[in-house]
Amino acid sequence: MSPSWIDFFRGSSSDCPYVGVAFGRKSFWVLRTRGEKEKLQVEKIERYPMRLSLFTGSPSPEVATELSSVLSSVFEETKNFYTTLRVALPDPAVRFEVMELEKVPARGKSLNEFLNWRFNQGNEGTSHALSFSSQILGMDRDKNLFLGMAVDQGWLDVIQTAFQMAGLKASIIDMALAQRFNFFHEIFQENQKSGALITFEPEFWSVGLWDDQARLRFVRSKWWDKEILKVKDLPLEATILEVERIIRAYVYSAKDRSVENLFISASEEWLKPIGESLKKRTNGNCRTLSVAKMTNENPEVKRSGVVPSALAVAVQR
Amino acid sequence: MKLNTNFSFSFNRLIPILVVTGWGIFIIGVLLSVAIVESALRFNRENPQLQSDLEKFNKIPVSLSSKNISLPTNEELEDLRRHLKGLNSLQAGGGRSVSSLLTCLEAILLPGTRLLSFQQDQQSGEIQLVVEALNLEDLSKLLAVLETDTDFSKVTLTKQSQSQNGRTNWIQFSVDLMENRP
Repeated sequence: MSPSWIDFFRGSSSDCPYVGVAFGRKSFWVLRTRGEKEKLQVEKIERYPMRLSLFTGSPSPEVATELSSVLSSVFEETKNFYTTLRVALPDPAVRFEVMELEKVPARGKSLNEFLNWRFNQGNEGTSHALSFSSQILGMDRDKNLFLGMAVDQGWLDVIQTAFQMAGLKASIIDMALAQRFNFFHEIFQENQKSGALITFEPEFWSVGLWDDQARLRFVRSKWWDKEILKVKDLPLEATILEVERIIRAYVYSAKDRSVENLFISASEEWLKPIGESLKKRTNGNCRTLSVAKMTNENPEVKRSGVVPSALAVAVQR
Repeated sequence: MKLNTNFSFSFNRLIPILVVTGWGIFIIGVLLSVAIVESALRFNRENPQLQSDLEKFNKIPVSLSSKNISLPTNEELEDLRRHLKGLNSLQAGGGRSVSSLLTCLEAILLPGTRLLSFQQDQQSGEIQLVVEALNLEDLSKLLAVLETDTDFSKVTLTKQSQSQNGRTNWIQFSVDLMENRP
């Protein structure tokens, strides 16, 4: 793909570091990288636990205050040089839908009203204020594929206020799956086949399905009951069965739908046992995506337990 | 297809606006440059003619004495200033100034008469005078002079009485005048 003219205005990641912040409910990861693709160098990885939970219950100013105080200390060392900051919201906190529309509403008020109606369907009377993001994915059988995402406005405000209080401005705030999908996109595109990415993180799991043109079409994710730090605590069998049901439902929901490739993404320690379990179930038709192999070795940085979302959000997309 | 969704305000959205603004400024700059170059070329073309005109003027200097013009005297200048002052006051208030009228009355007043009060309405041009005279003859003379004066269009004697100051036989009288305005 030829570079866009807008790329001319973008700074090179070799000149200035990229800092990614990947949120969970009980903690968040901060990861700093420099460089691109094969030369990607991880400079820092750190997990910060939170006393108050994010994306649970009603958002409160106390959460923003606690988050901003942690962020201020985290970004103390980078405040003297230009840094590109990106944020990944946990998959279960974001609602994702790809709609097939005859006509896409015009940007602005009408699009916002449409998305508000769509994401609040069935919640009349108890609807929450939502913030939206959208993208047109192209055409499929004379219909426009229109991707819509929604996140609770209150929690988004908490995140943005915390960054503002810490004197930071995130250039991108997006769903973690969108960051991972972009990060591994070249691998997904290799054989021009449809596929699924199953991700296991300490606080949630998610599955994203795409078509043969590598367009993300369906996403499902769930929080774990509690934060899982060891792979043996994962309810692996039950999760794999649920993922299988989701994939079957997707494939049979419309004509010409398929999932031909299966990819697994998780922290390095979890990847092998999860991969072995899934390979048994799929007769070897699945591939693990190693985060470590995507980056240059840096002996000074300890990578144990680093979640794929944290790395994916800390690179130029 | 990679995703480019974003819940934050992206500065990339401003790039097209900035590019259009940049092009606008560039085009204005080009037009200004063309105008400056065109002006410079025109000046360059006209320059020899201007140079020759300048040389011509240098050869024939303009002299005040050659025109045989005499300068006004101090009295003439003072008179001119007074007229100008009167004209300015006429334009500013719609009538003559108090000082101008008093100067005029001073010239009119006869020996044996004296001005006690003076009131002027600049909008309407009405003037009320209170004058004292030693006898009726002086009063008649003064009224006759006022009536013949072209500065006043109307002269009316409104009141006549013995002076309150009992030491001498001064006669006090009130006269209403109307300024003669063009």
